[in-house]
Amino acid sequence: MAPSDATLVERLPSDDSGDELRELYRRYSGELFGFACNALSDRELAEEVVQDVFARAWRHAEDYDSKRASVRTWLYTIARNRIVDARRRAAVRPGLAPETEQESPADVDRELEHAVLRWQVAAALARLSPEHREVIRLAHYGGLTLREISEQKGIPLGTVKSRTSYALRTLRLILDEMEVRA
Amino acid sequence: MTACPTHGALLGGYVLGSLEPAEMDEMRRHVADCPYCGPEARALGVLPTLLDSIDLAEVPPPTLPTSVEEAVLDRFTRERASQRRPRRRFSLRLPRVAAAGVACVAAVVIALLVVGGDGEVSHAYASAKLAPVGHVQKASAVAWAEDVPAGTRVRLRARGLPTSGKATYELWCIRSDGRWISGGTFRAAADGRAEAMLTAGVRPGDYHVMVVTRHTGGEADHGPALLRGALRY
Repeated sequence: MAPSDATLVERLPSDDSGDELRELYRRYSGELFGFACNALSDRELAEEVVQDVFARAWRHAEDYDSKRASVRTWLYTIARNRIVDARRRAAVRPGLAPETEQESPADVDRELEHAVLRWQVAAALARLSPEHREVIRLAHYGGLTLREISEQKGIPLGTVKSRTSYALRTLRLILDEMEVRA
Repeated sequence: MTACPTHGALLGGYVLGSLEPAEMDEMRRHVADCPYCGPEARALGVLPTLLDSIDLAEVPPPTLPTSVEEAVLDRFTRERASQRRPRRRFSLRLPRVAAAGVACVAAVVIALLVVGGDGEVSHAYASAKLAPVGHVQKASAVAWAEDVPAGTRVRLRARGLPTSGKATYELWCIRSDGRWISGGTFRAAADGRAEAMLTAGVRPGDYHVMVVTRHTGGEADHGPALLRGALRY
């Protein structure tokens, strides 16, 4: 059985082989990168943030308390701080960032939460089957009725109806797995 | 969650507002009383708002290049190596008898390292145990690195390698800047064992990780990693 996230973090201080770190990286690096990309709109900076998150994770693994937060929340908190730092650094470099009004911490938190949510929804949609994604695309983003989708695609109306319901149920399950509480 | 036997198939279209007007009216009345559709409509009802938060162009989300993983692990290996160094001072404080014992054990270990089990003389400055990272769960390898004028000569012993399709394998040394330096290719015997002497253009300290991949034939590109291990200097 695969070790839990908390077990991996507990083992990090004595992990000389890098195995625990690699496993933790494989579980979370993708979503942290998506989050950082959305928040920074810069792939290179986002890659740096991901590296920094895991560096801080192994250096401060002993500070992690599983009673206070899940590993996921802990990593996102580190990432959030790294992103704020990266933005500050970018803001003081002339010509690299557009001049913006100073954001309040609450604004920053809201914006970062939105960036996490966007990554989660995009990742959840990516995990759907192409057929399920297609009906959502046509119905929700394309504004077509199920009858119009049936006619356009040459698929029986009953199939389109049940496929749409299954697509949304699956999407809901994936988002629940990702702890999306919207 | 159990689906409604009569109206379950309409729920998706209802939540997205994509049914015909008459069907929408019928579902509105039905959902108000149905013990299945009511809770499910509420659970799925948040989805349109979530879908509105993204542009479909964001699907699939961006993926990280593999070089970032190597850079993270390399940084980790180097930091761990630097943390281990101060422990050497401890041995200086040992009592003389204990220090003599330690020296004897060290001499035996060094002798074993310098003269390999098969009698070959070795001057390895570092070694690595390579463990499986992909789907090849039973493979493993040990590598010894020796400084030679051309770079680093690696003596590799592997076992459990897949032998189907007469696969060719490649040894890589991953430098601190994330670049993969090939040490050359080798084949496994019919029982999955391999013993190879390879040379990579790297120097001690330049790299901290070794990887064995399936050889793809490309000069710059590397195939999927099968074995991986951190170097112990």
